[in-house]
Amino acid sequence: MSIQSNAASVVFDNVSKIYGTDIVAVDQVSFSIEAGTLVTLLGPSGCGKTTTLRMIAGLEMTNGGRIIIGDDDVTTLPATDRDVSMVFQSYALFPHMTVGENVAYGLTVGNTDKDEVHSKAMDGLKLVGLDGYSERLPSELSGGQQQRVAVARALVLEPQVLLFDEPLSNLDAKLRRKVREEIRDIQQNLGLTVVYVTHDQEEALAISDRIIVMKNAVIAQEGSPRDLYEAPVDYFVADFIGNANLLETEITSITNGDASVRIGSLELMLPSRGMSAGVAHVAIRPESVMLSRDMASSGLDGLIAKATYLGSHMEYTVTTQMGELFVIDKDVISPMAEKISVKINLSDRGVTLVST
Amino acid sequence: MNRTVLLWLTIGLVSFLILPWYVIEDGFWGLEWLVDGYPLDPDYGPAWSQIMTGGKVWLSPIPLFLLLPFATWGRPKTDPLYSRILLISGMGGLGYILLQAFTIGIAGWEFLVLESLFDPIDRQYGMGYGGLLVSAAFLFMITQGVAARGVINGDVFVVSSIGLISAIVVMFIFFPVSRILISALQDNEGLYSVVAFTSKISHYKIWGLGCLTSNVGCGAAWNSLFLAITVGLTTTALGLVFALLATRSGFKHRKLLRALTVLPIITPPFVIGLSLILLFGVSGVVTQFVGDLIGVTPGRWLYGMPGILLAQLLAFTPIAFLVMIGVVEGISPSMEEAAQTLRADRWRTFTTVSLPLMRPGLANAFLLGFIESMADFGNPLVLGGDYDVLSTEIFFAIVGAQNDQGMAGVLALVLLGFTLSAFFIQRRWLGKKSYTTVTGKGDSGFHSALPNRLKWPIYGIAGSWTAFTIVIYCMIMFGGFVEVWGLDHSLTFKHYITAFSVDFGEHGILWEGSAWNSFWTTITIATIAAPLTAGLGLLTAYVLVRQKFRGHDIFEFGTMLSFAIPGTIIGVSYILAFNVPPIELTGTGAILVLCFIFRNMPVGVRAGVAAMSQLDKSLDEASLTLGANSFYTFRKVVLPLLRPAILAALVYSFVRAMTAISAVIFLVSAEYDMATSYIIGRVENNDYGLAIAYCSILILVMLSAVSIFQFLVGDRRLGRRSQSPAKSPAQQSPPNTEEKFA
Amino acid sequence: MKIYKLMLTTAIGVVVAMGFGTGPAAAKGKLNYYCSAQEDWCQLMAKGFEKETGIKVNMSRKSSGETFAQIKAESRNPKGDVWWGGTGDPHLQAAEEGLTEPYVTPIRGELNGWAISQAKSADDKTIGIYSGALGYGYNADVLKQNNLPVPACWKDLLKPVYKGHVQMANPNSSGTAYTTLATIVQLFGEEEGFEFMKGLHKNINQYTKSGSAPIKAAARGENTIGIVFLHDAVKQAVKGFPIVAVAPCEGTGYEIGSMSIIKGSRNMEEAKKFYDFALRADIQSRALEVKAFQVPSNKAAKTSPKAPKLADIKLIDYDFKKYGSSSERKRLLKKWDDEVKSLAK
Repeated sequence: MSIQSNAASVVFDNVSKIYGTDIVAVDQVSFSIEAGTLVTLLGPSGCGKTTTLRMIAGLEMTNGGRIIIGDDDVTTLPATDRDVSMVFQSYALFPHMTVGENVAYGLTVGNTDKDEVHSKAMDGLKLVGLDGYSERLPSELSGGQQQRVAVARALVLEPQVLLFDEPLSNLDAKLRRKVREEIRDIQQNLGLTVVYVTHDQEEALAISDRIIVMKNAVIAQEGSPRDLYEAPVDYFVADFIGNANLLETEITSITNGDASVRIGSLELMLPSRGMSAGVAHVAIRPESVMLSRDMASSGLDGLIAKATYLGSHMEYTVTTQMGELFVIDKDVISPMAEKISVKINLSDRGVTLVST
Repeated sequence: MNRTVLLWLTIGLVSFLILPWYVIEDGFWGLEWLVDGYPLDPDYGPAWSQIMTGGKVWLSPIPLFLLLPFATWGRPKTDPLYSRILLISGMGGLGYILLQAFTIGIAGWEFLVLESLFDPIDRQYGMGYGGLLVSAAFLFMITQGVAARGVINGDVFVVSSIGLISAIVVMFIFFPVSRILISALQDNEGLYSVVAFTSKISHYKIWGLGCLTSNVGCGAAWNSLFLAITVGLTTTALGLVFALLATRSGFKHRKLLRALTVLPIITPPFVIGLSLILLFGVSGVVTQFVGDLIGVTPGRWLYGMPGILLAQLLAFTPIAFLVMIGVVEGISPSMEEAAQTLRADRWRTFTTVSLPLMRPGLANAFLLGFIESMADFGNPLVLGGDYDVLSTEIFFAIVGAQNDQGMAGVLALVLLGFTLSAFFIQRRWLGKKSYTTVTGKGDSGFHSALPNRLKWPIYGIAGSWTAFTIVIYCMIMFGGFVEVWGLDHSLTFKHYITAFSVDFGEHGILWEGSAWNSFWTTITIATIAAPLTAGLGLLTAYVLVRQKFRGHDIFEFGTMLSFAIPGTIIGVSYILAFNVPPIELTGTGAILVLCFIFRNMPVGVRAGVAAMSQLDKSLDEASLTLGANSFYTFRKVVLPLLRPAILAALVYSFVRAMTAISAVIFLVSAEYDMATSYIIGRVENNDYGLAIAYCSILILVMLSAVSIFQFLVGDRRLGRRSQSPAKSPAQQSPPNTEEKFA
Repeated sequence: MKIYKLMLTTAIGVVVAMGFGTGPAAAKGKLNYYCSAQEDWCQLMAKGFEKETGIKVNMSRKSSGETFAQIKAESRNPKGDVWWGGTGDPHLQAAEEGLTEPYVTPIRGELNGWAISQAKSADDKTIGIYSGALGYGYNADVLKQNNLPVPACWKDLLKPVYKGHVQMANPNSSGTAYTTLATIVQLFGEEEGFEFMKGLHKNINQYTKSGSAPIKAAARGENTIGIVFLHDAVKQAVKGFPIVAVAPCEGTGYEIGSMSIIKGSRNMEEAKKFYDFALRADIQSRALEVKAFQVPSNKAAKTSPKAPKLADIKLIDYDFKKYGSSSERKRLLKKWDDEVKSLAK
C-alpha cells in the first residue's frame, strides 16, 4: 500500500474568530492534538466546533492567536497552502467527474506524472473498498459509497491532518455505525491525525482518542471518552454527554477531598472535585440508579410513573421528592409495573458532583 | 520573489520599455508602427523614448514606481513590508498615471487653473498598449499587496478578480456616466455654469405641460414617463394574462406561446414600427380597407403616443410573460389548495392568495417594461410624430442641428433619474417580505383552474394579441420579397440580392451585397462580446456568491447598475468619455464590444448567481483543501458545473449584440457599422424592402443560434451526468431574460 | 465545454484576422479623409481614389459639426488631411478661424460660378463641390385623391386646404429645417417670415426629427407635401414613388456642400491630389451611382434628368456668413420655439 501517513500535531494557541464586529464564534481557544490520534470536537450547534475545524483547514482565518501544524505556524496560510484535507458533511464530490477523477483531483494539482496519480488514486479506492468503481459517477453510488469516496479523496494526499465535518449525518443509523468503524480502522492502521466534528455524543464516545467539548465559543472540557462520561466537569458536559439526572444537592462537609452530600434522605460520600460546602449539583447516570421493590430497605422513596420496554433494557420514569429520575434497568425479565412504590439507591460509579 | 508579482512586473517593464505608450491611430491591432519610425517616432514611441525625445517629461516618475516591487526580493509574504511596498508601488503608480492622464490632454493642460499656474505643456493622446498594460501591472501590484495583508484569506485570485472587475466597472460604467453629469453642468463653451444647467433642466421642452391645457405637446420628460408607466402596467397585465393562460387553463398550445416569446428578443428594432405603418398608416392596408368600407379614412392616429404604445406593447409583452410565468408556476399549489379548503371560492383564492404572491413578478415585469420603454429608440423614431420622448431627444441633441452635448447630458440625466428611481422604488416596494413559495419539500397538487369570470376575457385578449402578432410577422417576411412596399407588390428577390449577393471571382468568394460589411462586423462583434460578457458575468457572480468582503453590497450594486441605465445613455456617455484621452475609443470596434459587455453583463451575473447559489459551497472548499488554488477551483469545478448558465449568458449576449440599437447608434463608425444601424440607415432612405429583408435574415440567424444553443443545453439535461443528486445545476432550466430582473 | 472553447477560438481567430486585415499599408502614401456626406457617397469617393492612385485612405465619417469640432481640437497637431462634404457653414467657419489651407485647383475653370464665389469669399480655403436648393415635394397620387390643387410657391402652402398635409423637420434637430427657416426669413424679411412660419404651423401635421423624413413619408403616402432639399425629393421620384419636386416661385435658399484641406496636413501632396480628383467631372458624375442628386460643381458633370437644374431655380442671395453664425442661429431657433412651435394648431 503506497499511502503513507504524514501525521502531525495541531496546536491552537489562544485562537479567536469573530464574525462581523461582535459575533464571537471562537473565543481564545487553546488545545493541542497529538500526532496520530483521533480527536473529536463535540458540542451543540453554534458552539464553534465547525469554525474551529475550518480554521484548521484554512477555510476561515483567525482574528487572533496562532495555529501550528507540525512544526509550522500556518496561521496566515490559506487552505490551498496547508497540508490538510477535509471530508465534508455533504461529501462535496464533484458531480461532473468520475469517482476516479474525484479521488485523483488533489493529486493532479501540481503533479504531472499521470501514472503515479492513477496508481495512487487506485490505491486510495482500494483502501476504502471501492476498487472497480473508478469509472462510475458519484451519482451512481449509494450514500455510504459516496462517503467512502470522499474519504479516499482526502486520504490519497497523505495530509498532515485529516478533518471530518459531521461526515456521517447523512447516513442511516446502521450504516453510520459501520462507516465510523471503518474510519477508525483506517485512522489507526495508518496512524493518521484526525480531527472529527460531530454533535452526536455517542459517535464521539465510540470513535475518539480524546474529545474536546465546546460550548458558547469556548472549550467546556477536554479528555478521554471515559473521563468525560464519568467525570464531567460541569452541568453542561454532564447533560450533553450521555443521559444524566441532574439534581440540586447540598454539600454538608468536606474532608480530605471527599464531600459528604445529602440527596433527600440519602447521604453519599463523593470526590469533592474542588468544591466547597453549600448548594451544588450532582449528576447521576440513569444506569447508576438502583430500584428495589423491597420497601423495607433503605433509600429514597419513589413511585414508578412510567415504564417502557425497549427489548434490551427497561426505561423508567420515577417520581421522587427530588423531582423525576430517569432510570435504565437491565432487568427485562421481571420488570416493574407502573404506579408501584420503590426504594432508590445509587451505585458507586456514575454519580458525580458537577459545578453549575 | 513571488511568481505572480514577477510576472506583472515584467509585463509592466516590457510595456514601458518596448510597447508604444500612446494609442495608435491605425487601430488597436495594426502593426504598422513596427516598421514606421519605431521607436523614436513620437506617435509610436514607448514611454522611455517619449520622455527622452518626445518631450513628455511628466512620464518620468512612472519607472520609479515600476522598479519599487524589486524591493520585495527575498521577503516572505508575511513580512508587513512586503505588502506595503507593493501597495505603494501600485497605488502610487496607478494614481500618478491617472493624474497625468486627466490633467494633460489633447490640448496640453486640461484645466484653466493649471494653465495659469504653469508654463504651457505639450499635449498627449490616449493611452495605448503601453499605458494600459503598465496601468494593469500597477493594478495587480495593488491586489497582490492587499492579498498579502490577508484580506479574503490572502487569496490572490479572488482579490485580483475583485480589483479587476471593480476597475473596469468604474472605467466603463461609472466614469462614462459621470461624464454625463459633467457635460450637463457645462455650457456650450465648456465652462461650468449653474445658470446654463438650471435653464436647461427646467426647460419647457422637458417639463412643459402644454398638452393639458391646449393641443401643444407636453415636455419630453412627461411624455416618456407617461408612456413608460402605461407600457409597464399594460405589458405586466398582458404578461400575467399569458402566464395564467399557459399554466392555469387547459390551453393546449403552450409551445406556441413559448415560441412567440422568443420573437421579440430576436427581432431587430423598427421592424414592428414599420409593419404597423404599413398596416395602419395613412396609406396602410387596414386604413385603406376601413376607408373603403365606411367611407371615412382614419387619419394620422398612428403617429404619436398610440403608435409607440402599440409597437412597444407588441415588443415587450412577451418579455413580461417570461418574467410572470416563472412566478406563476412557482406558486405552490398547496397554498391555493389550502385557501380552497378554507372555503374560499376560486375568485377569492385568486385575489387573496395567488395575486399577492405574484407581487415580485409583477414588480419585476413592471420595472422591465418601464425601463425598456424609457430606453426604446427605434419605435419612437419611426412612429413618434410630434410626441417627443427623452431617448430620441437625446439622440437629436447630439446629432441634430443643435449639436448641444450639454442638452443631451441634461436629458440623459432626467432619463437616468427616472429609471434609477424606478429601480429603487421597486426594491423598496418588495422590501424584505418573504415571497418564497417554493420550499425544499416536495409540493404535490394542482394549480387551481381559472375562475370563469377571468377565463373568457383572458382567452379573448390572448387570442387577438396572438393573431395580431402573427399577422405582423407574416407581413415582415412578405415585405422582403416585394418590389416597393405599398406601391408595387410584384414579387422579387431584389432586396436579398442587393443586400446579400455573393460572387465567385478568381480570388475566391466576393461578398458583393451591400449588407455583408455590417453583417460580418455584427457577427464578429457579437461573437467577441458574448464569451467576454459571459466570462465576466460569471466571474462576478462567483465573487458575489462565494466571497465575503467589505464593500460586497456596493460591488453588487455597481455590477448591476448598468441594467437600470438605458442604452441611449450608455451610448451618449461612451461618446463623451471615450472621444478624448486618456482612453480614446470612438470609431473603433472595441467600443462596441465594450458597450455590449457592460450592457449585458447583469444578465451574465444574474444567471451565474442563480446557478451558483445552487452549487454547494463545500464543493469549492473541498477543492481548496485538496490543494487546488481558487483559480484552479474556478476553472475545474465551478465553471464546468455552470455550463447551462454559461450557455444562457452566451446566447443572450450574442442575440442582444445583434439587435441592440439605442447605444449602438452613437458608437458605430464607417469601419465598424452594425446591422441595426445599417438597417436604420436603410429605413431613413425609404428602402423598406432592403431593411426588412435584412431583418428577416437576422431573425433567421438568431433563431438558428438560439436553437443550436437550446439544443445543446437540452441535450445536456438528458445526459447521464445530470442525474447526480448533488445539486447538479444541469437540472435547472436555462436562465432566460427573467433572471435579469430577479 | 466544447462549444465554449469553439466560440472562444473563433473569437480569437476573428480578432487576429481583423488585426492582420489592417496590416502594413502600401508605400504609396496615405490620406486621412474626413467625410461629412452620406455614408455610401463617402465610401464611393474613398474607394475610387484608393483604386485610382493606390494611396491608402483612412476614412472617418462624422457630421459637419462634429468634424469641425474635431479639426479645431486637433489644430495644434492635425491628424486629418482633407475634409470633404457637408454643408458650407462650418467649412466657412474653419476658413475664418484659419484651420484650413488655401489651395487653387488647376481645374477651377471647369466649375460653376457659385462654387468659385464660395471659394473666393473664403480666400480659397474652401470650395463648393455640390449644391442643393431648398424646396418641397408632393405626392401626386395623394394630392389627387384628396382633390388638392398643385402648389407652386411658398405661399401656396399657407392655404387652408393643405391643413394637415404639410410636413417639415424641426429646425432644432435638422439642418435642412434650419435652412428653411433662414431662407424664409431672408426671402420675406424677419417679421413677415415669422408670420409665414406661424401660418405654415397651422397646416403642419408633424415636425419630424430628421431633415429628409417629410419627403419619405410623402413617398409612402403617409404625408402629402414635404419641405426638403430638392435633391432628396428627386431621389424618391427616381425610386419610383409618385413624388414631384417643386422649386417655389418666390425663390429659395440653398446649401453648398464644400471641401477644404486641413492646415498643417501631414500628407499635403495626397490631400491636393484628392482635392483635384474630387472636382473632376467624371468623379462628380458618379454621385448618381449612390443616388445623390445634388447639383455638381463641375459644369461638365452629369446630372439626373429628373433633378432640377439649378439654373432654372430662382435662388436668393443666401447670406451664409450671417445665418451660419452660432448667435444668429440660436436667436432664430429660440424665436421659432417661442413664437411658432408653442402655438396651438
